[in-house]
Amino acid sequence: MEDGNSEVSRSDRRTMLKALLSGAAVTVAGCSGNQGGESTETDASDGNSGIEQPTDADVSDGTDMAGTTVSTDTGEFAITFTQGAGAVTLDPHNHSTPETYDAHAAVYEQLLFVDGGGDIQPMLASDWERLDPLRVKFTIREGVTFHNGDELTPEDVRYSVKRVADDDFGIVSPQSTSYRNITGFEINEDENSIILETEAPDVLLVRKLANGLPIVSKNFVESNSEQELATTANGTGPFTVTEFEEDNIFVAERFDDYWGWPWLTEQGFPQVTEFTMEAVPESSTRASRALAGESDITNRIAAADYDRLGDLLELYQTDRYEYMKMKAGVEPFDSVEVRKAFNYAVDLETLNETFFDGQALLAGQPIPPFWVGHNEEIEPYPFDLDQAQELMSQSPYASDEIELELHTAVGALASDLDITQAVAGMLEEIPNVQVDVVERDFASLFSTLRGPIDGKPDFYRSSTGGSPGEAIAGKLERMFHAEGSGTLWEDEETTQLIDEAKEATTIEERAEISKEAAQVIHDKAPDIFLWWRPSAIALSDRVAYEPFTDESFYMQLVEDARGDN
Amino acid sequence: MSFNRFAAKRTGHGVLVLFSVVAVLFSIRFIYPGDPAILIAAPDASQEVIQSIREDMGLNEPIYVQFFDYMAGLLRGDLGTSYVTGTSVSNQIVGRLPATIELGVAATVISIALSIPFGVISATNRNNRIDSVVTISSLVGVSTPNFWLGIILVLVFPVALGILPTGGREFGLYEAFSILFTTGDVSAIITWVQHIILPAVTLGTYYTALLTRLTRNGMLEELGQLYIRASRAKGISETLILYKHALRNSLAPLLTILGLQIGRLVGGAVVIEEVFYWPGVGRLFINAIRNLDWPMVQGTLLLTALAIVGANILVDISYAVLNPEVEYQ
Repeated sequence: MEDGNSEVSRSDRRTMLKALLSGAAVTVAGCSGNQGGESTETDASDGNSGIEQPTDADVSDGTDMAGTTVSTDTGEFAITFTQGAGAVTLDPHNHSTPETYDAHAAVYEQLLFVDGGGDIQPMLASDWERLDPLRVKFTIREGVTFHNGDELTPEDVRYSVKRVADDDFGIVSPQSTSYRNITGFEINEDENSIILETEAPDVLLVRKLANGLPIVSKNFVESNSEQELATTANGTGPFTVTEFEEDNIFVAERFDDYWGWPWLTEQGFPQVTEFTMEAVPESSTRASRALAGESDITNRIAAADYDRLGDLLELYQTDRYEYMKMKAGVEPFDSVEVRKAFNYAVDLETLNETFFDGQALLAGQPIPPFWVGHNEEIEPYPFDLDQAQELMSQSPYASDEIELELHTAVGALASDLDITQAVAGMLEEIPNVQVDVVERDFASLFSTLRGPIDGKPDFYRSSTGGSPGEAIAGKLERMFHAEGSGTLWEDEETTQLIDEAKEATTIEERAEISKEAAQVIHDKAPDIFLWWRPSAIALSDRVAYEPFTDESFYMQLVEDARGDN
Repeated sequence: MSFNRFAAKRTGHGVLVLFSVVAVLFSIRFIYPGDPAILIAAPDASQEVIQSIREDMGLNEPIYVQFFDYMAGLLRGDLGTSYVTGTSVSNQIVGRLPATIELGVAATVISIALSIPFGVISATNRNNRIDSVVTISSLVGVSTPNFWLGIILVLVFPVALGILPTGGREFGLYEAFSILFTTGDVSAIITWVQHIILPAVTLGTYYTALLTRLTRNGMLEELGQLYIRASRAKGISETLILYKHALRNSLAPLLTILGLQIGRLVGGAVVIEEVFYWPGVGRLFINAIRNLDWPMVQGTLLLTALAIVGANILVDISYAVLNPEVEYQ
C-alpha cells in the first residue's frame, strides 16, 4: 500500500503556506526596513492553536521559509486519522462528542487515566490517596508545563474542576453531571497537592476523574473569551494543535517540551510526530480513503465495506451494550413472563452470524466481561421458542392480542434498521404478538430517551458505550436505578443493590454487589439483552494500534510499523 | 414601468420572501421533535444539567422573545451562536462559503462548457448517430442520482486507478492563486484542481445533461426560423449562422433555467459535500440538522434562500435586459 497521499498533500500544503507567509513576512520586513531576515513566524510560536506555526517538523522538503536549505528530520512519523465527524471545539469542557474527546485526548490531560485494561494510571496527579469517604488527596506532578509555557499548579486543577462542576463558574459544561458533587478544595502549595471534597460520600470519584475532566490553565482560560477558547487550545498533552476547523480538520504536532508520561512509552513521548484528523461523513468514502492509502487509521467502518478492505480491516471488541428496552411499568411489559418470553424468542446466534460475522459477544446482562462487576455465571438467554410461548401462556396477556411499536433510530449504528426488523420478525413468532418497527430520526429519538420517563417510547432499541470500566459507575446506575436518566423501570430490589454498591468503599465489595444486581436484572429482564458490539477500523501498514474497548482513540499510543525506524 | 422600478419591485418581493422564510424556519424548530440541550449534554447528564444547558442557551425563554431576539440579531448581521461549537454562526458560514461557491461555480462552468457544444453538435446532426449518442447520454445524465455517481467515481479514480484524491479541500482557490502569485509555484493550483474535479463533475453531470437537451431543442427551434433560411440564402457562413445567430438567440431560455436551478444546485451540493467531505455550507447544514443546532440550521437555510431569491431576481432582470420584447412588469 502506498504511503498516505493526503499526508503528502497536506504536508505540501503546509510547506506552501509557509512559503506564502514567508513571502508576506519578507514584504513586511522590507517595508519596515527590517533586513535582518529574522523569521517573524518563529517569534510567534506561543503554543496557541488555530494558527499555522512553523517548526522543524514542518520543513519536510529540506527548504525553510526563506528558501534556505536545512537538514531533513528523518524521524518524521506523520499519520492521518479519518473519523466520521470532526472535533467541534477546542474547549475541552464545552462539548460531549466522541470525536472531540478523541482529538482532545492528544492535547489535554487529566489527573488520572483508565488504561486499556480498565486500570487507573497516574497522569497529571503523580499520586492519590483517599483520606476519608468525602475527601481524596491528589499530588500534582511537578515540572509539567502547558503548551504556552505556564507551569501546572494545583490552582489549575481547582479551576478546571470548578469550571466543569459549577454552572456559575464561566460555562455550563455538558460534562458536569459526574463532578457536580465536588464542592470543597484544599490546596497545599508546599506539597503541591489538592484535596477534593464531595458533599456526600462518592466512592467512584477517583474513577470519574480518571475518565475525564481535562486540566486547563487558569491564566489562559481567564485571558480568553468563550469564543476564543473554542478555537484555541492550551493543554499539557504530547501534541499541540496547529490547525483546526470545526467538524472538519484537526492537525496537531508533537510538543517538544512535553513532560514525558512514563506510562506512554519508555521515553514518555509518542512515536507520532504529527497527526491529521479529518472528518469524512460518508462511510463508503472513508473505506475508499483507506484503500487509496490516504488514511492510516480509519474509524467507523461499515459492515458493507468489510470485504473490500481485506487485510486493512481490524475488528475489535467494544463495551457498547445493545439492547431492546421495555417500559416495565406499562402493559404488557409489567409482566416478567412477557419480558422473559421476548428474550427467549430472539435468536441471538443467527443475528450475530448475519450482522457481525459471529464477532459480537452475546449478552445476558448489561455489564461487559472486561468491567468490574461483570457476572461471569450469567449466560445469554438461549433461543427457545417453545419456552417463549410457554412463558407467554403463563402471563396475564396470554389471551390478548399484543400489538407493539418498536422504535429505532436510523443511521446511528450500522444495520440499525435491519437488526430491529429481524428482531421484530422473531418476536412475531410468538402467536399473539405483532410488532411494528417505527423508524425515528436519531436526534429526535435520542433526545426523547434522555428526557423524562413519561415521554419515552414503551419499547425501543438503543445502545450504550462509555469508559467507566466499572459497572456501578457506568451502566448500572444510569440504566437500572429508579432515578437513572436511562431507566424505564422502578425496581426496588435493583435500586437498593445499586445504592449499596455506591456506598461500598472497596472495589471488591462493589464488584460483588454489582454481580448480584446483574443477576437480578438478568432474571427480571427489563431489556432484551442483545450483545456487546464489535467495531471495525482500517489500519494502514505504516501503523500499529490497539484500540480501546470504549472506542476512544489516543494518537499518542499509535506505533510506527514501517520497520526501518 | 421603468427598469429601476422593475428592479426595485423584484427586490422588494425578494425581501418579503426572505422574511417569510425566516418566520417559517423559526416556527419549525418548535414543531420539530427533540431537544438540543439533551443532545449537547453528555450521555450521563442528569435532568438538572440538561435544564442548566437549556437555560444557558436561552431555550426556556418564551417563543416570541426568542423570535424577536433572533430578528434583532439578523438586522445587526448576527446569525447567533452555534449550540454545538459555541462560535459565531456567521463566521462559520463565511468560512465555509468559499468552498461551496467554488464547487457550485466549477460545476456550472463544466456544465456550460460541455453542454453548449454538445447541444449544438447534436442539433446540427439531428437524427443521426451522433445525435442519438448525445441524446441518450443526456438522458442517462439527468437520471443518474449524483450521490451514487459520486461514490462510483471515488471507486474508479482514487481507489482503482490511483489517480485523484477521494475528496477534501486542501486549498481554496484564492489561497492557491495567492501562493502562485507570491512564489510562482503552480502546484497549489494543480492540487486545487485535483481535489475539485470529481465533486464538480458529479454535481455538474445533471446540469450538463439538462442544458445539453435544452441547447439542442433551442437550436433546433432557431434553425427552423425564417431568418436562418434568409441568412443562408444571403450566403452567410454556416459557422456564423450557428454561433452568432441561432445559438445566441437560444441562450435566453438557458439563462432562465440556470437561475431556476440554483436551488437544486445548492441541494445537490449538500449531498456532494457529504460524499467528497468537501468542507462547505452543505456539510454545516447536515451536521446542524443532526444535532438540532437551530441557529446553524437557520443560518444556512437563510443563506440558501438568499442565493435562490437573489439568482431569480438577477435572472428576471437580465432576461428583461437580454430580451427587449419583455416588458418591465
